[in-house]
Amino acid sequence: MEIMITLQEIQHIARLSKVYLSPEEEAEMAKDLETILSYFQKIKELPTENILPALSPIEICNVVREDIEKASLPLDAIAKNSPSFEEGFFIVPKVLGT
Amino acid sequence: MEEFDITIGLEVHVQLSTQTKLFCSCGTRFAQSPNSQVCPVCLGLPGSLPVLNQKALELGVKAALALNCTIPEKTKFDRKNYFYPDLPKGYQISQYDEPVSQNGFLVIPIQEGKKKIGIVRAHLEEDAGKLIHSDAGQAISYVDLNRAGVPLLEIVTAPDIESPEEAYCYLTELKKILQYIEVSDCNMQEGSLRCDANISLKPKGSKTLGTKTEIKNLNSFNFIRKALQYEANRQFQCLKRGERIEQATYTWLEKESRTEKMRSKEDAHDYHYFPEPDLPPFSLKESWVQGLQDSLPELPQNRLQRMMEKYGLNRSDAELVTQNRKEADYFEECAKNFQDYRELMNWIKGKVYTYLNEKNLSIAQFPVSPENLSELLQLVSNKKINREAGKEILDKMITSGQKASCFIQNKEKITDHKAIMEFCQKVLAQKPHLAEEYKAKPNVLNSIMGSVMKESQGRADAEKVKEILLQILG
Ligand SMILES: [Zn+2]
Repeated sequence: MEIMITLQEIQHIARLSKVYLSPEEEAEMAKDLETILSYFQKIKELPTENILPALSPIEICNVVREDIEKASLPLDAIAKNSPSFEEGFFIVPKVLGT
Repeated sequence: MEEFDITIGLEVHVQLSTQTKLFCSCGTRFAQSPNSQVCPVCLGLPGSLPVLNQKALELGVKAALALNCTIPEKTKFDRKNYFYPDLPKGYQISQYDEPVSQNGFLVIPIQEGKKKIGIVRAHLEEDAGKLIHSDAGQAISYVDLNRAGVPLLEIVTAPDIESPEEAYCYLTELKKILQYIEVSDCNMQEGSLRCDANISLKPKGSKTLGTKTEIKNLNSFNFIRKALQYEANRQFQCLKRGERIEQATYTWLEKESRTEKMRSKEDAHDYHYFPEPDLPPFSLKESWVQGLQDSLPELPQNRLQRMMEKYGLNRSDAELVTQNRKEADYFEECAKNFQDYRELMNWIKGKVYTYLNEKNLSIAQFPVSPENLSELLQLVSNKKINREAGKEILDKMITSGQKASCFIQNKEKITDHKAIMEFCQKVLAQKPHLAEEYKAKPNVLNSIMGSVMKESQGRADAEKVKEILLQILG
């Protein structure tokens, strides 16, 4: 199987996703992504020259709603879904810059 | 600096004036308690689905039309992927290759006349949440997602702006237009208008653009102008030393009056845009677009021109009165009933604006209606009351909100010869030395007149007072 993803690319994607991968995990991730990308390789073989890209398998258009306010979630319901919630705020590890 | 041309591009985000967010029915009010305007959609909870706010689409297209943009037959949304705690879904719903509008322009006034600034595109996107960093030494940040999902229109200029001053002009004009068409309140303090700028220098006349730097966190038009001046000069010094400009993002530090590097190009994002599968595409019917076009009010530059011609105002007065649509409306409402436009302008500039500035109010909060102001001005111009009395009455109208006729009693101008003669004689009897002084110094007449006016409580007809005094004093 030809190599479609390099180690550098794995590291770049990990950095963008803000996840830490050990060297072993990087290798494993490369293998998994290879499998996924090979599916796309297969799809690429299909002749698509005269076919317009489709955004969605269903043909619907212009689904909108009116600008009318509805009740928001109560704080306790929001807190329930958060591992760390204090005085109305979600608490996350400190982030600065990018 | 003469051997270089400056090239500036601006990216402005304005918050659209909707009741609810772009893809969910949460409210958009400013300064609410944290996370009180959130729901499964804007929290990015699994299984929730976005639905576009019709009003946001309308306002976006309206703004684009006012900026002379082309509206395509079809538009769609895309995901812009990045990880940051202010973005609960891990992506922002924005528009990539089929934005709601493209290819517009805005005309700005410059010293040599007018200049067209190209607008590459204006597209809809959702805002991110707000992060507050703990300063108590704890390694935590607080996340408030009230702002997440609020509708924004991002307006991107072509690299047509050639000086910090032009950038300032463009922003002023853009804000005026957006406020006129009531698409956004453009309140910078509340973050409804935000601007990022990029700037580069190139040898004079060169066709290729130099390496640009980006400046972020610019929260007033003044800061933007200062930051661009600073950055142009910094780049110039670099180039003069033979250094290369590094493509990077800077932030403006107002207190220190300088820019500071935030991140370099190497850290640049790679957003992996792809079409948003949860939102169907939108077709923008010509008749619908035309309807929005027809709903646009007269835009500020046209109004300025028309008001100069119609009312004979000079440019600076016309600019003053058209800086905001409600103020221009106020003037024109008054002008319907009072046709001495120059006099009207003087009263508005002198009394109305002074009051509004003192109290920091907008014209909508001015207690005197245009009908009531024009009625008062008619009384003054028909010489029913004199100007001083008119000003006093206007003060009373402001405090009470009542009509001029409520205060006119005991304010009517006194024109009766005999009555004025009595005032004059009384003053001269009280201050006989004035008559003496007048013989040596004729301009003492003014101070005698002042005393007579005071005696009449400002009601005597000044012309007549002068006439009679000259008679008496010989
Ligand atoms: Zn919501």
